Amino acid sequence: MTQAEHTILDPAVLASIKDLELRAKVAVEGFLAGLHKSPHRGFSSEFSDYRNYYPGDDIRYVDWKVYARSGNFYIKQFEDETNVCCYILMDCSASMGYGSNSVTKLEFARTLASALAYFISGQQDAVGLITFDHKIQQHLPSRYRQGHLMRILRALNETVIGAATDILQPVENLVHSLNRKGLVILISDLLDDNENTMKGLHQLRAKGNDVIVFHVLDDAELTFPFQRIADFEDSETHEIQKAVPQRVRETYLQEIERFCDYYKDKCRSGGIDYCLLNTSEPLDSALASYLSKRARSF
Amino acid sequence: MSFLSPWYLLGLLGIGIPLAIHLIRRQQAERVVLPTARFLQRAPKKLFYFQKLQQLLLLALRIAIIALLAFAFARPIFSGALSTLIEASPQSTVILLDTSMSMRYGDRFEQGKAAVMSELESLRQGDEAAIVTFADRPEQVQLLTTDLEALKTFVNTSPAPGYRSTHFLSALHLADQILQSAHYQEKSIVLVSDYQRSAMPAQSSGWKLSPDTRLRTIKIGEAQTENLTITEVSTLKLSDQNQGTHRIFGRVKYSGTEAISKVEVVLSIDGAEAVTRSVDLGNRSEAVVEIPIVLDQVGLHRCTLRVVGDRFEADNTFYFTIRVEPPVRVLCIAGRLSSSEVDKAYWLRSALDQHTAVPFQVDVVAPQKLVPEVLPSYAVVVLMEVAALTEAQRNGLQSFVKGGGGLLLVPDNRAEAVSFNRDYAELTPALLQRKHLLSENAALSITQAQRFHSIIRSLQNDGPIDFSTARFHGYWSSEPVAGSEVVLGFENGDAALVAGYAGNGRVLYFASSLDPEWNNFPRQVMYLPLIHEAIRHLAGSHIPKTVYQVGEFVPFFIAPGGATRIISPQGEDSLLRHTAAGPTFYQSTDQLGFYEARSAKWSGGFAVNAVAQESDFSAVAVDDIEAQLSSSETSQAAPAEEQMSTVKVQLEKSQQSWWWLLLVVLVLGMCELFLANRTYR
Repeated sequence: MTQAEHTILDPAVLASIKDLELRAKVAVEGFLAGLHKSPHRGFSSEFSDYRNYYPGDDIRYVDWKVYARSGNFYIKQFEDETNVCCYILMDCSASMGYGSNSVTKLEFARTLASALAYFISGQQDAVGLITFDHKIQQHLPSRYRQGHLMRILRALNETVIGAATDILQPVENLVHSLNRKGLVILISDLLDDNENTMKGLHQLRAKGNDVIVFHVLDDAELTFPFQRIADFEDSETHEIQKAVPQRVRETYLQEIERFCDYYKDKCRSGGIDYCLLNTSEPLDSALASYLSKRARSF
Repeated sequence: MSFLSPWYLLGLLGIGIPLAIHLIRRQQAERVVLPTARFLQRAPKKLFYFQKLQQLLLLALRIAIIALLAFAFARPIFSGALSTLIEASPQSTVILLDTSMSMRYGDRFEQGKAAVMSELESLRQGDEAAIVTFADRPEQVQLLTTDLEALKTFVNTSPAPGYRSTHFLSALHLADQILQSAHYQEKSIVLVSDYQRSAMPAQSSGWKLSPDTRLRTIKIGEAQTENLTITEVSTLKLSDQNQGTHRIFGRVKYSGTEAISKVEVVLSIDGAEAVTRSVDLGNRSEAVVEIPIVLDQVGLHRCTLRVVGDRFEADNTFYFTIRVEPPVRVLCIAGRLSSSEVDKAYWLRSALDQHTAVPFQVDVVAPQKLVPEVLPSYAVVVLMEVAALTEAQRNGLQSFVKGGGGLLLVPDNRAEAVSFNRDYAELTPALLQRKHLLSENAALSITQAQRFHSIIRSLQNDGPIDFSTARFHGYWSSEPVAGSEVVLGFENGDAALVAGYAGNGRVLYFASSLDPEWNNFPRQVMYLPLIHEAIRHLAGSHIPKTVYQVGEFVPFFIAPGGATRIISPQGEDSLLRHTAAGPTFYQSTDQLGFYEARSAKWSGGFAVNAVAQESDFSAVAVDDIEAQLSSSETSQAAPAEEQMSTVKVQLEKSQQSWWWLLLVVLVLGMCELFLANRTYR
């Protein structure tokens, strides 16, 4: 991926694009333009139409019979036949409102969710959206139809910061409402009860769903760059921790690493894809993770 | 407690700076919203509170540093001592301790030190004092200080008295000067001495102490004293008929308060007792003893005349020398005067034949009969016929002088400037310019003399120099060459006698004649001594003064590039070198006895004796001294505030608590640095 493309996927750059559809389009196409190999290869497809050959087209798709008949090169076009049911669960609790730079975790999650929705829609898959804090805020069922993507993007755009996090409730709700296997994407900082969260994810997995967890954390949360003595306030519980950064940094980093490692280990053992995202880094790793999962599963 | 510079206490306002910074920073303790703050729960809380404690400690340190700095600059004085000192009316004192030879008598010096210690004990804290030890001049000085312990140490370590005489005036001058810089209004000089009569300044000097200075006297010494001494020795060499016979006259003086009749006088020569005489003083205080001796052996003989029989040995021995010289061989090159029956050397030969102490043997030869080979058998050549010598004769003369011989050049009426300057360029200390023949009325006198030259000094030893009766109507004006020295000069500034060196030899140039052709000098009284001293100078057999008093400077005339080594009676070695300004003086004549003097070509010595007056222990009435030296004027007292200020300055100087405060500030600063690096905001 070139530097220019990397810049396009920079969360701060994406966040500056107000139109969420455009932001999703830029993110996805910017990401795809940087791939060396098409993630679509090997997908099962159905013939759809012909079109004229242009230099650069893969000659494997040249219909030689038509060439023999007409003397012109035509490329065969195919249409995906798979229609996967995807759900995006996006955490919009108070902790997601934190951002040490220009991009909050929620903004990052919103961009990621919109990009994924755009991507999934573009693959003719059905996509749904659930936003939640301690309760479900918005629920758009998984559909593949005209205008559904726009509804999702609008819903994402209207998402506001909520209160405390409760991941188990939306997940259990989803478990009960899903009547076919699909792909569930959880975008959250996972600052909830660890065991409850994993319990919900395991339930989803037990129903045969593929699950991807995008663990979104701010750079400051991962590196604890603070220098001055301060009262550190938990954004959800509002609990105050007095600390001398220089003295507690090591302990804190050990704790945050243990926290991430917990989810990483539990997810791996439960067959769940886990991807830790730093809001200061580009989105490509998230999209690549999704595509990898999509390719393996379908 | 009071302060010397209380305005600096305004610096205490600076305490507000760290206080304000502390409070402002405390108020600005920020609240940071951090969703992952829950992970800080396991961090130890005591660290945070310890930091708070550290910040408070830092604040305390910084406040303490600023406060102590303000205190240090304000220069605190602990008031207990201050009030004591102010009530006691502090004083500045200079104590003069006599360390002259007379203080060696009995336990006078110990008494003197005890008196000084007693004076120091009577001083109060804050009083300042100085100590000066003195004899004929101030010797060791401890300037004004309030550190009384240092003064006591100075007294205890003062060296024993030497052999110098006593003179109060120079020490009193110094004490008065020291008190000019005193800080207190009360000024006094304490003079601790045995108050010999000879130590008093002359009544006519008129000098008095400063108006506000008080003189206090502490008299040391016993009521009953006895002292015998040899005050003077002179020697006389008898005429040639009594070959080698000398008479020695010694003056014995008794200055004690107890009666004494007969004393024994012992003459030692070269370390061996030669003669003993008994002198009956009777009721007299002085007697002269005469001792004839025979000394044939050429050289310097060290002699002592010693009296026996008193308790004070220091001045019992008089040291002197007798030099027995071989005859000085002088060759005079002179022709016969056409208008006279006598030759040109007649007057010179007549003068040299008259001396008995150092005999001269004079030969006269006409220029045409001079054989250069005979020159080395003479010590001095007097050349009166400068124009008559052949080149071979001149070369022989040049070799003679450069080999160490002496030459007296006397260019006469027949000399020519050009040929003289050419032929004698390597010998003469002066180049001829023009011959002057004056009328009798316009004749010149010799009015200038280089008093440091050995010839003139020797002449001065025998009495005052007066050339005024000698009239010169004929002479050569001349230009002294580099390195030469004008010894005598005419009244118009032209050189009359010029001294110089040629190789290892000495050369004198006389600008007129040594016979009556151009002057009446041969008929004047100064002719004979000048000729004697000139020949002795040229022969190197100059008889210098060999007996000196303690403290007297001994002159040495050292050739350029040369050096003379002096060995004191106690074996201390020192080296004197040539100085362009004149004689080199040996100044360390502090010990009694014989001093050796050695150079490459010459060895000799001199004797140093105590000053005779120092042996007289009779004391002067101390009231007279106080009356004589104290000023009747009184100076206006300084204002009370000024005195108080001075007292404060002195007391603060003695306490110097600011120094300790700054030291504490330094330590606290280091602590602050250490703590600040471990404290987080």
